Amino acid sequence: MTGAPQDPADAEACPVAPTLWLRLEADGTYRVGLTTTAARRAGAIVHYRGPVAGRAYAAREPAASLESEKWVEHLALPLPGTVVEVNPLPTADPGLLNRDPEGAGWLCRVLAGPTDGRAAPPSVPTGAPE
Amino acid sequence: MSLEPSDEARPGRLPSWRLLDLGRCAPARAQAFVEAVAVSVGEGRVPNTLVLAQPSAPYLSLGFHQSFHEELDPGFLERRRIPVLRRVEGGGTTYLDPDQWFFQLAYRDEGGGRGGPEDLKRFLRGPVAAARSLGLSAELRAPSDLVVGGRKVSGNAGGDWEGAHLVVGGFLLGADVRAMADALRLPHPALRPLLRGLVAREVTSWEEAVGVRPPWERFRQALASAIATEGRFEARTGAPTPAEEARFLEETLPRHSDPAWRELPPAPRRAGSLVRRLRIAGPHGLLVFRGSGEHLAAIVDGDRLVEAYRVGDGPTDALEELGEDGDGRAAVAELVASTPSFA
Repeated sequence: MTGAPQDPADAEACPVAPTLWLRLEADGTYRVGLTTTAARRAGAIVHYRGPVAGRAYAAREPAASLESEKWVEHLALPLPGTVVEVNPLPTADPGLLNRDPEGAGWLCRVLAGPTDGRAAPPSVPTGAPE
Repeated sequence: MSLEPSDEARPGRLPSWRLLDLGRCAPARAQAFVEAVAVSVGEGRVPNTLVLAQPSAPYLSLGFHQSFHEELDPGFLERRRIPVLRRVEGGGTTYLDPDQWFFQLAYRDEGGGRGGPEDLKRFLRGPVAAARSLGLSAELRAPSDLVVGGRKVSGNAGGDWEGAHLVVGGFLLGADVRAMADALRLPHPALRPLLRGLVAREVTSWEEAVGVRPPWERFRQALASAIATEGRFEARTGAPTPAEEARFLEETLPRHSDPAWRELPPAPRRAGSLVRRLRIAGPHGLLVFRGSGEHLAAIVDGDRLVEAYRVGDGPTDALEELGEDGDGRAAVAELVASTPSFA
């Protein structure tokens, strides 16, 4: 990862979460969102539940979920760390994830941080919607 | 049982999947053992797996994004005292009982599919073929219902979980339509008969459609064979691994017993007067709007208003149907038009 903001398209190849993009912000946090490819593949998204601000998520731990045509995708963050900000817009309007997944429909900002290196078992995966 | 990679690589050879027949088992096992299986499948420790099961007792299953408190009728929960489980897949609230027989697929991209709604359509061709081979003329109604004569006989959903994709569903061998309707929360008691009628119209069962239900052994054989044929894999009977049994006991069951999991907070209510949106089957559903001192209800078929009703706020107020020519119906039609369609 470099200090320059990443193009979401570049981040799409992230092997941890290929459905998500991330972009390094000036403050050192990463902004995370759904890729356009993943949004198209999902179809019309009718439900979205985001991560909990202030909570640390391990690698592979479900942090958010979206639903389209009775299919639920549980999303792990593309890197372990603490969620420092969540975007309330897609929770209130899940269709935004289809309309502007790499813009106004970003999901959260994450401060990357060390974890114990183990994949967390699924717990109550996501928190209260905004 | 394990895959033999050399066989897998042989041209023309179908991939092998494991077939787990859990038989009749407790609701949590029938519903959620596949979540423990998904971990093993996702890690590549076991082959892609087809699970068959029958719940031994009634229970309620919430779709992953649904609200416990908004969906379920407190009186029903108090009377019946049956388990409530939140599945990791999508769709609406379902009342399930021993008359419903389940099929569940857990698979990786390799030899399975990429996940997503398209996989639902693809893998549901198997249950359709199995039903037809047993005399039930089922067909797929997108996205994921199987219907007979336009009435739902199988509800299905999917999701990604722990590195695997899941397609889950079941056939209604019998249908307790009264329980299905009574389990759902409504904003006014006068709407209950309306909901019961709607569920009875839109939901059927194997027994009702064919007159007789197949024995489990014949059903499971037909289902496993057809799902394997349509999914282009070979099903080999297997057993759960000790790791899957341990994970089910140590992670899956405790999670499903955790009120924080079961009662995940609801999604925020959209602005407007819509207070209840119940999809019963395919495009058919019930919408309830809050009016001034009243509730307005609409039975809809996609975006088309079929019937319109009004009921006052008093707990004993009666339901009044709004006729074709009245202003009331026009007002309900306007509300329906401004609501996301079930189509």
